[in-house]
Amino acid sequence: MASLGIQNVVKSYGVVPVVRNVSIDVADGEFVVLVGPSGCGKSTLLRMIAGLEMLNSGKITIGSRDVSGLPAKSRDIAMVFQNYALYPHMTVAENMSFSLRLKNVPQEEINRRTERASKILGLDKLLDRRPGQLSGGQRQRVAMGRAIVRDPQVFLFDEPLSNLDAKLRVQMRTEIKELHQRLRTTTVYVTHDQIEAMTMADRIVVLHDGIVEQIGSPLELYDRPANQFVAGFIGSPAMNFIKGHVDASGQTFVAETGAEIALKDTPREVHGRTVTLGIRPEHFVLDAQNGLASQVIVVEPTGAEMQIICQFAGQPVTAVFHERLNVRPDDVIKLAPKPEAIHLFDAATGVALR
Amino acid sequence: MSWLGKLITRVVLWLALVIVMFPILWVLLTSFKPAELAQALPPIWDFMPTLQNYRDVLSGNTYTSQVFGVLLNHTIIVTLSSTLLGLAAAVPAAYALARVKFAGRQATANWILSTIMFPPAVSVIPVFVIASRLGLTDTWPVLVVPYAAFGLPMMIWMLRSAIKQIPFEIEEAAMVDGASRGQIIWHIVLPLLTPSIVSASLLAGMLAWNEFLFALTLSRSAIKTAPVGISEFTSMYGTQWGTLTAAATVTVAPILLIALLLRRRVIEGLTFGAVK
Amino acid sequence: MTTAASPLEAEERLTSRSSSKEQARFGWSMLSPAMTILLIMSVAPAIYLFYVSFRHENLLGPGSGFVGLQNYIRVFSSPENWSGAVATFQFVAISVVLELGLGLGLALLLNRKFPETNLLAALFILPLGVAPVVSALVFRVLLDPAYGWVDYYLQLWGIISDPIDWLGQPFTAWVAVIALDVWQWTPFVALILLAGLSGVPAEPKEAAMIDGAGPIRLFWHITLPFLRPFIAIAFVLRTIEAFKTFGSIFVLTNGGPGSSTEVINLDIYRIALQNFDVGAASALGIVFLLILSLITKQLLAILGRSTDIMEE
Repeated sequence: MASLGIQNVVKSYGVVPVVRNVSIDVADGEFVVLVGPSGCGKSTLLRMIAGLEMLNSGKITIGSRDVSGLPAKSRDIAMVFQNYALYPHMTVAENMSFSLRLKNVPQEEINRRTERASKILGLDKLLDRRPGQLSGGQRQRVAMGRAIVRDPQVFLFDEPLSNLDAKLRVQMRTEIKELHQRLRTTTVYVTHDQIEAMTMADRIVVLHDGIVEQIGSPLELYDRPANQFVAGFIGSPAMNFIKGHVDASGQTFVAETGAEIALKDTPREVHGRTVTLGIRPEHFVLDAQNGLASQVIVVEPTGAEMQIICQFAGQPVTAVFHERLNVRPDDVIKLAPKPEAIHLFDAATGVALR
Repeated sequence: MSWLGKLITRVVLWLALVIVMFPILWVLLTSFKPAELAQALPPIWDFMPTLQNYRDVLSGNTYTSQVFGVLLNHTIIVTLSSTLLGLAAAVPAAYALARVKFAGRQATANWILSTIMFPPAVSVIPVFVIASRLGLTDTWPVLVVPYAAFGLPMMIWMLRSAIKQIPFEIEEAAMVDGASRGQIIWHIVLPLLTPSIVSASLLAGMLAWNEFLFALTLSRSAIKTAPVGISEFTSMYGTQWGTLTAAATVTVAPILLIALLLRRRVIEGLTFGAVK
Repeated sequence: MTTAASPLEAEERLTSRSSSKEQARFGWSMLSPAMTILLIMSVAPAIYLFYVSFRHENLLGPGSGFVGLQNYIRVFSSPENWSGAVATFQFVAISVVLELGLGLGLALLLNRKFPETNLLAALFILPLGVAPVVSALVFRVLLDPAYGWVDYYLQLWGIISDPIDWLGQPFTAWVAVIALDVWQWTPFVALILLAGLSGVPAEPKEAAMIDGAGPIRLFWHITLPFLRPFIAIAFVLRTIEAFKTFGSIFVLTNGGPGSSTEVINLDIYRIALQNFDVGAASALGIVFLLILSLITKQLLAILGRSTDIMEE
């Protein structure tokens, strides 16, 4: 096991930049998730760590080794691919032991390690099967088994759960997390699913258009997004954004429609400034006195909570309530954001103002 | 479909089968007839089946210059070596055309495919002239190399499309697992390619086994193959139906058996792998 | 972000892993054995033919030397070569059209599920495994006017009154040559098309039936478009192979009677290896090669348009 360093890494395909100057330090044993929308460069970054892509410039280190120029086979990393990439012609046991056989590890040692990995993953009864005879979840476990057997310096996961159905995905999420807690191997995990990122990561790296938008623990990202992109990307349902400006006193946000929202503890620099206000759906309250009259458009009960989409300060917003409200479309409710949960972003740059 | 339509369809199908099978069954039937009955008209149907024709053919008791069994051996040798040579050349070529990127790759692939139009009747002239000058006529290479070349374009195209269908992620997984390029080809690509390799080899083998023109032109005795031998049964002393059909049966039967057993693979081979 | 590994991306990735020079060296070294064999058997012969086509080169006689365009002039002024060209195109056109037509019919019939169709489809593979020399000899024997079964049974059934010397007259010799090719290769076409038919999905068919399409419209608008790539493959492969036909005609008629079934391949072979006039044979070979390469280009373009096997 080792730490992983990514320093000023740049990658482009021809003239199309994919990763622009990314630096991330992953501590030994840490579970880091790279998250971002399609095309943000997260998979390319992961593949550069694996040695499947070469960097244009920058440096990647594993422990104290500079591996930037090394081919994949010499990096001592293990990777779980999106489509598992199991060897179709090999049994589960052969799949898991392939890397060890390549290194001419003694048979006893191979057996010992394969057995251990298959026990951890509950594959002991499937060792003689071929990938074609396995379910999606089992294949996923074999792919992880193949990684565990290696006892590598770093685990890499490339959207490993995206081919599983929703239920299995939740289950495997937990299993991967447990596995990491048990093995404590340095892990880099790529996903486009922010819930996966939030639930699994020690630290999340949000990538967008080839640059790092923010690095932080899940709750840091949720509570203190560095900019409007991160704020909108992390959290589900997504944060609502309302354009407008802060009045000169800094006490009130005035939406473009003229609707007013009370603010609290605003820094001096935002007074009188044009901003975007951000408020998470779960941070609305019903306030008969100060709330803005909002017409309900759609009501979506999920059982545990209620999502209400309504017209608020001139635009549709989503609000989530844990209590059951007796609301129907076209009803008018009085909606107010919790002042302490309001985020303000620079209207032009999207940078968080706090 | 009405019952009449069904009936007509089935009658036509069975009729087609009769036409398709008749020459083959005729050969088989005649090969077991006593020599003196073979040519009788009206055809004699109740006869004592005999293996005499086969004995004659394989022991050399015919009017031909060489024992047919020897020619059959030559055919086997030429078929196996040209198929193996073709395979040894086709697999790496197909891998390069499927997975390695370099300038001129697609043009090369298309050129390779386009060589199938070269008529053997044209290429045999220079091969014959040059082989004569170099004293190579009647030696193995003058058949083995051309036969390998005849099968190569199809083999390469077939294997290329088969390699393209192997997800590249699998090769990447092997890289991450520590495999070198050679190890990837040997441990991952080749095993996954086996069905297509069987198809390609069947095709090349059939081409070589049945080839006539080059064998006729470039062999005298040391490498003379069965198809040339068969053609001699009819030449000088009139057609010996019994021995001709016995020789034909011995030559054709292995191919037909393989074709029946590995039908899917054969069709895949005959169509560049475009039909799976 | 791309995560699924399409072949093109796979190449992108591969390229970026090592320098393009290294890639090229690796690629060409992997290609070199195959290229060597193919060069020996196609480019080298073509160059040699081209060279010899400007020379007087007789395998037996003396006096080889440069003769300019004389061989070409002789090639173009020889009526035998012109009739050979006509015979070749006649042979290719008629047999390929018949094979495609009959093969399509056979495939459509085989696509009906009767208890015996699988067995029949399996047996239909047999002709294409029979050595052309063998099938030609069998045809020759069966068509023999004195001992052949064909004349005997045609007479017995009262279809003809006198035996026909099939290979002794130009027209019937042509019938025999084409019948042989059709016998040998129609099943091949049928099996390709049958594979295509089995891939025609039921859904559009059902939708069209609900829309009230009759069987002919159904075939024309649903089945045929799905069959197109398979028809293209069968057409292209059969055409190319038909142009290369040698052994079966050589054994069945040897170009006769006279030179009525002498296709170009036999013509070239006779000039070179029976008259030993290598120069003239080379000139004819070069002309034939040029025409064939033009035709092949068109055929491969058809293949590229109708199928995805030519795609990168």
